[in-house]
Amino acid sequence: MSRQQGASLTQDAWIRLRSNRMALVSIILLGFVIAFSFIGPLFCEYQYDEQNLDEQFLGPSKEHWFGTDSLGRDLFARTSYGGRISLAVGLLATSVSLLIGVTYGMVAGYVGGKTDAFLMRIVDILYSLPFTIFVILLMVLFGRNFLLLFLAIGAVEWLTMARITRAQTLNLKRAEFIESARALGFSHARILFHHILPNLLGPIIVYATLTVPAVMLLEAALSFLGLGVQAPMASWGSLIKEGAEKMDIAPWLILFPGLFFCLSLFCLNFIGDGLRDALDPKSSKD
Amino acid sequence: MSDVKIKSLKTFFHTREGVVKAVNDITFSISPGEVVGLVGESGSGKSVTCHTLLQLLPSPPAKVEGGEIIFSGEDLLRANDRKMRKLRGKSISMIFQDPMSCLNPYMTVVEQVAEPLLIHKMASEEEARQQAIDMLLRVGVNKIKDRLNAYPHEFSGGMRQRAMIAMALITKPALLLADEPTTALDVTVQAKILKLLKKLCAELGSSILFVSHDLGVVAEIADRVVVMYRGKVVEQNTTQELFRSPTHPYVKALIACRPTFTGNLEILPTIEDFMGNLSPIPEKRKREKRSDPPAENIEDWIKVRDLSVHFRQAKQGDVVKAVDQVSLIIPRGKTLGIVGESGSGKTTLGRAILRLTPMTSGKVQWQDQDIASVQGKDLLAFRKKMQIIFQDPYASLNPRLTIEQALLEPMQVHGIGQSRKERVDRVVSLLEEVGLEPDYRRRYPHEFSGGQRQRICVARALSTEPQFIVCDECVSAMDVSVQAQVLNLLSQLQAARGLTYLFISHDLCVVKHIADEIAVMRAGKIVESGNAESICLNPQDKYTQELMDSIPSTSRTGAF
Amino acid sequence: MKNFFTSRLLQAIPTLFVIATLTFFMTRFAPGGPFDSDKAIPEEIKIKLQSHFGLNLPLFDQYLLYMKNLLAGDLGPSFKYVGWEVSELIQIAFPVSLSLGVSALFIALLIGLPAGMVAALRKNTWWDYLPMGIAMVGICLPSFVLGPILIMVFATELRLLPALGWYSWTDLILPSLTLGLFYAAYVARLTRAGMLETLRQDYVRTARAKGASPGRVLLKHAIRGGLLPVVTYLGPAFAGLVSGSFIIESIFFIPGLGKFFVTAAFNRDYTVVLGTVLFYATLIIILNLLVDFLQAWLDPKAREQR
Repeated sequence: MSRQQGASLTQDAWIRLRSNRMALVSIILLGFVIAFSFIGPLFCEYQYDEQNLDEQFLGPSKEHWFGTDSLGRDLFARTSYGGRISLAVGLLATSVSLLIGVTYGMVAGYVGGKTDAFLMRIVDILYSLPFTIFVILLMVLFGRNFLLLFLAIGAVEWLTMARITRAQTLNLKRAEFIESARALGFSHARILFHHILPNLLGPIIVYATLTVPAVMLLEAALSFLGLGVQAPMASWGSLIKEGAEKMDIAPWLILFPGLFFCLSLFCLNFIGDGLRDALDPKSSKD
Repeated sequence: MSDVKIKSLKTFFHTREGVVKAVNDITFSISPGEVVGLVGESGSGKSVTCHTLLQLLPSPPAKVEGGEIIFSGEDLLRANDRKMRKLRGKSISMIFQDPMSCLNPYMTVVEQVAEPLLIHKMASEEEARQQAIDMLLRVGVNKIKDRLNAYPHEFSGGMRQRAMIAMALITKPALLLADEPTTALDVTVQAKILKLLKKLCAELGSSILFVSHDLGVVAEIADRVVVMYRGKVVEQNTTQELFRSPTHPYVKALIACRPTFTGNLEILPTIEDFMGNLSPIPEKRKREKRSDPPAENIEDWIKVRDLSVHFRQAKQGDVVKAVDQVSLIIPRGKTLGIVGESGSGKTTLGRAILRLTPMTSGKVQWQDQDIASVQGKDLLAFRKKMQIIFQDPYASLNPRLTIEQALLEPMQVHGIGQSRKERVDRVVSLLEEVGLEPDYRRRYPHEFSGGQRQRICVARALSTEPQFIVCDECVSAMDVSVQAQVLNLLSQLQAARGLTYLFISHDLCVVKHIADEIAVMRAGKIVESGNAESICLNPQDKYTQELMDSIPSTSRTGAF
Repeated sequence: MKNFFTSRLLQAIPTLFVIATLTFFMTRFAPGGPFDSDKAIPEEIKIKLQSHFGLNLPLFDQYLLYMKNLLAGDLGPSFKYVGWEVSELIQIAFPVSLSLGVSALFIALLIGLPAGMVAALRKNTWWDYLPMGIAMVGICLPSFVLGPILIMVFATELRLLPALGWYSWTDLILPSLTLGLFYAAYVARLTRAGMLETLRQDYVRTARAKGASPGRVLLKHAIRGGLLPVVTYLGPAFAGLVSGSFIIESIFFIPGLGKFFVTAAFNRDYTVVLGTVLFYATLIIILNLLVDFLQAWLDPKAREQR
């Protein structure tokens, strides 16, 4: 051991992640998709809601790189706009569920005893509710409020996040370094934030990365049912719906949004898997 | 011909970090009916040797690079999988260390014990079942008649190991491979299992390859001993000869650095003393005989009175009395050893005194205050003075903090040191005091070995300048050589700082070595207590006597 | 086991109560009523309709009335489909959704389980990479993308299978494939992970040490532990199949319960909405109970925990 500076677990994990080719490729591709959604419009002369009834259902061309839709709107612009919406919903809803779920689970796991039993009983009951049905109901009844949309979606996912966090917290609580911390007189707050939370981050990050595609799927499904974002706003889900309706005459309308959507899900899942393997070297692969 | 000849065996592991030569050219043999002990510390390659015999190693990382294993005239290493399958469980059987994880939790015990007969088509289903029951009775699982459909988790550790033995011996194999079968068991259970193994295998005519890190245990059962170190065989001889006149310095070290019952050394010799330097082995200072101090000079210090810890079982609602009305006196500057087997409550006692586990009732008097009832700032003040070192050095350190951070934190919380620089200086001196290189303080726990991590834990316990330290099985998970180092460190620290220890362990020899007074616990109660020498040489209580008798004789005396 | 059964049943009752109450008030607080929409109805007839259905009573009284009827097993009449009881509508529509769901589940297990097991046994070979690669694509291809593509390929271009409507058993194929393939992918990945984890266990090594053949190791020793994650997943999978069916019924024009539900919600047909939600909730609770039983059957240790 010659070097003085140690290699933290995070650095080790990063090295392992870098050597996972699929994960690396996915990170690059995802970066490309994000760039397309947020910077792409700078290269495009059309707005996403610019209608031009002379140019309906045009195939991909030099003028309109991805073609146009039933109202003559440029698909490139709409796809990148849809990307912004879909990715934003994914990120925001996941953040909401993360915040609620992690706090809930950490408290339940750390406090333990009756409080834990009570909190988890609530989770169990909520878990058995047909949440998706409720979300659909909500969206139908109260209209397509964008805020409501991602709050509702986030509310679906926090339950699993809470369960996972609680299980991990319970494990950590029993670990001897936590007992040492108590023996050394550390306050509960210090133990929670300085010792437990950093060690929870691994599984949380993995799960969060895998939640984003699940959330995006849910949003897209809702949009497909006509319950998600409202025209003229668009998400990949609503674009796919429009494209599916006109698939026989203009297949590019489903092709491009579908491609970007599936590609994002694909990359996120691979990155999530890669993170899981990097943070726990004993799991599945070898 | 059922003897086994291992010649020039080489098994390497090809990992991402390089090639690990786990077994590097070893040669020994086992004659029919013979018991051969394979001894070594972690990393010696003894387990790998055992697994290679049955070709149970996972093939991508592990690869047999050379040598031959001749069994019944055939080279096992050249045998294909089908041939090996015919041998496994029939001519060569294996038992493992942890019976809980090694038994299928989804199958009944009787089913699993009967399975080898069915696999090798040695009996019909009905017959196999009956033979399994008979075998289980033979190995001492007496309750099996009432529990024919019981699952492994419904049995105790000792019973599970007996079931594994039944499972391995039901086909009357020529060779039994035993990989640390008693390491996870209590000392009294261990003694019984060793007797059982020896008796049964003699009756069936099976030879045994008994793998263990514990020389004493091996000496109880083996006719010959093979000692491995870093993948090579350093010495092999009959048990008697090996103990009487060991030749290789490593073997001498192994024998010498274990604390024995009759030994009286203040500082244990360590491996380094034997290997490496050619100078004569320094004479270790023998401890002055510890006499009972005159009555007036007893300085009572920490008085535990009627301490009880009860747990309520969630399912049945009945109460488990983990600690039941225990009273102790821990003398200042000395070591009180608590000895007991699993379930005796010794660990719970230590934690209760430290207020890590809530007490159901009782008082802990220290410096005119009852630790059991202080709160808030007073409790924090007490926490500064009393610390604990745990068994598992791997789980005792936060993997996300550098050593420096881990040692600075207690100082910050208790306000030790006026500035950061002063605290860092203290960290440096602490690390030096425990024998670690201060330059390594920016490293993370996973970059250190087990023994080094335990030293870091000791340093962390010392960072608050405590007066009282509970050592909860803190050397139990270690190799003998590392154990000696840590025990020496604890002794030195006690002498230098005037520390008081509560030393909890299941290992009588270790406790006798380090403790001035001993209390023996069983089922939550103290069955006997007093001066260490007198308890060990003249135990009054029947349970204490049973504990003493269970210690392997070579561990007791250091000689065969 | 009996305690387990009764405790879960007892847990189910307040759950359903909460669901019913929540849904009731949610629908009532939403803007719009059942008779506000398109066709202009003369005011007097509107009032008559409302009083006929009890909509002119104070809200809380309506709630109590509904609950009372519910306990008697009466879900009430539909507001929109005049002359129909909600229970009758469910009776007609549900079997359609049920056959769709069951076939999808069947496909998911039939394809997913073997694929996952083979991938685990032949880890890091093409038997692993190919199915798992496809599975990865599968979980990224939602039903509303896959469905139209399958329709285009098999129905429009190749003219092999019917696409829309619900006339003969062949109508079942494309929809259940669309719904089932997604879950097949999940099942395959879970099975592979579960099997790999189990195959690493010490007791599997013991089985090999006894001379068991690879087949025996797999089928007698590893399979229970390996399948447990899949069984645990069945709970959320059922819920997912239920909600996934909404989309499928929409794409393939299948007259199932899902479509009824969405339409009723749009139309503010309160009783149909409430009835469907309660029906689905009960269904999911029963299915979850079954899953718990299955878990307890597979894992002896779980039997004692509850």
